[in-house]
Amino acid sequence: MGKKFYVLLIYSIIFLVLSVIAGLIIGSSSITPLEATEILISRIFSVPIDVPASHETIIMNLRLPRTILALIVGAGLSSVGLTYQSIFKNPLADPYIIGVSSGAAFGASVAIALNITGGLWGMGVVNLFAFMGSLLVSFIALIISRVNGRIPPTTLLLSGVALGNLLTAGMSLIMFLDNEDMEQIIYWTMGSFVSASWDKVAFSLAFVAIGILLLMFHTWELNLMLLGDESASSLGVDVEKVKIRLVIISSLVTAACVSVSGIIGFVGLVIPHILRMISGPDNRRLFFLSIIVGAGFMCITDTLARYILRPVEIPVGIITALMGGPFFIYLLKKNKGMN
Amino acid sequence: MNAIEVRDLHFSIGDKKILNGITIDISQGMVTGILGPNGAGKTTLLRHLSGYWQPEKDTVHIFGVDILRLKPRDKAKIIGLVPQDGVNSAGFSVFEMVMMGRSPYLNFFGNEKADDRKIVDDCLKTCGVYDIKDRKMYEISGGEAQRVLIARALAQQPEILLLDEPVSHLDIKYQLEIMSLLKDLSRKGMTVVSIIHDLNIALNFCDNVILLNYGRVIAEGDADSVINEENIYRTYGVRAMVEKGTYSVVIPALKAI
Repeated sequence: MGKKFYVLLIYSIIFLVLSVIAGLIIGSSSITPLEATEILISRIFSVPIDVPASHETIIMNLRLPRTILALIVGAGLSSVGLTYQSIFKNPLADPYIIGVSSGAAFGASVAIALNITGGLWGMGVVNLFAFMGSLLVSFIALIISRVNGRIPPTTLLLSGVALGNLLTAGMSLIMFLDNEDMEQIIYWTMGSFVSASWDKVAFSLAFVAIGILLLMFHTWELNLMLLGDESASSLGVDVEKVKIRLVIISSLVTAACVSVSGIIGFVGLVIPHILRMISGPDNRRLFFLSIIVGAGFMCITDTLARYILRPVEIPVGIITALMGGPFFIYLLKKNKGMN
Repeated sequence: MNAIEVRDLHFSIGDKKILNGITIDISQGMVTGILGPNGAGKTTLLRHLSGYWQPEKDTVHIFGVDILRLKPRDKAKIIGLVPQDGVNSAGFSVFEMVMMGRSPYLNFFGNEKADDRKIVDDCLKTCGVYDIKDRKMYEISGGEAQRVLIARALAQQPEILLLDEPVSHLDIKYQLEIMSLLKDLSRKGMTVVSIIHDLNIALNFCDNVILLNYGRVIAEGDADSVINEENIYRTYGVRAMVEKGTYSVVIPALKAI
């Protein structure tokens, strides 16, 4: 791999580290960045320091899990976005392209509207319903798009769009019938890390870490699949098997991300895309860069979401989407590389 | 010896029968052309020969082995393909594109060795695209791209080369260059099977041709005897004159359709 790649890799890592530091020391509470730094250092090197216990709790039980959760979700969404862009041979593909977000939103709204209480592994019912909803949509999309034992990318994409619309209608109906919970449902669909916890970190990390590891073994095959299914097959890729495997892994990763954070758009679409413009189409490089930059980006946007209107939080999905619109127009104007 | 044997191959999409009992033998080291009108089933047949579409058991044999028994990577070491839709280049360079032909020999991460680079360079030279190896695929002409795809297939070091209309969109010079290249390859032992639309090209460059229509074999055999006035009329419904010589020509009678 070229020298340019290592330079990019180093920049990405610097960006990631700075984002994490920013996420940990910047916030709406009265803790100064200096104090936050002291708390972190004292924890790492177990030196006792003189700060209020409440401040220490904020850092260790709120900001730290929240930052880590943002990193996990950012890494998960970007790696899946990259995978889907290669499978679908479509630069505009993102982790939600097969209807996953609508499935999650529908699941969450059912749980919210029915006021179901309880939970599992420290995850709330809303999170678990969102997880199940998005998984269900992926698998139904996979099943209905199977033609003659193979899954044409366009058919899978369109099944996802159709299912997505269906479930969005379902969610709208729930909101229409149940006005009281409308605000909560809408808030959920905008995406936020406000309810981050160590349990959510553990839950999402399990899926995202294993998923990323498995996807990593397919990055060269993704290069071949970009050329078209027939070419990939002639070059020794078991296209249909690999496609199904990758969609299943990606669905699990996306579902885990969505269930803990709500629907955060733009990250999975644009991070791989920007990096592709800079480093070229090779998925082997893009994969690592996407994970690092995606994680850092999610962390920095979450910090902005907490900081801009402090003490009020803006849902992070709004911030990412605000950046997404202009970038989309830019893409449309400059769409060459992939075609 | 036969490189490929097809026995009673059927294929339908929904209720529509695309292939209707195809039985053919394709001999090793020859250029075999697959001809026929649009919709005759040529591409479908080729996709069964490449294993992209899975045939029934015991219908397609590659060097005596049922194609279903070949693992994808092993199959890619025997059969190289230049598909019709193969020019989706995604922004890769010519060299990267041809290196992908080494895939069946590389590990899961596609790590190439010095050997692989040498083979790729050789294939680039054989196809006359070595000088443009650092250009992006979208920066080169259609004729060059077609030769790059042939180089990619050669990098697989296959024994059989399948091509889907390799010269249809090219100007006459590139058509002749590519067909001569295929002919040279076959003289060195490669089995070349190509879908061809142009009867004149088929007549002058193919050793054997298979004439398809309605998913059936209308005629097969050496090019000179199959491409005749009667077969052209039976297959395409076009009256034509065929003149044999150093260069044989098919001249359609434009008014007599």
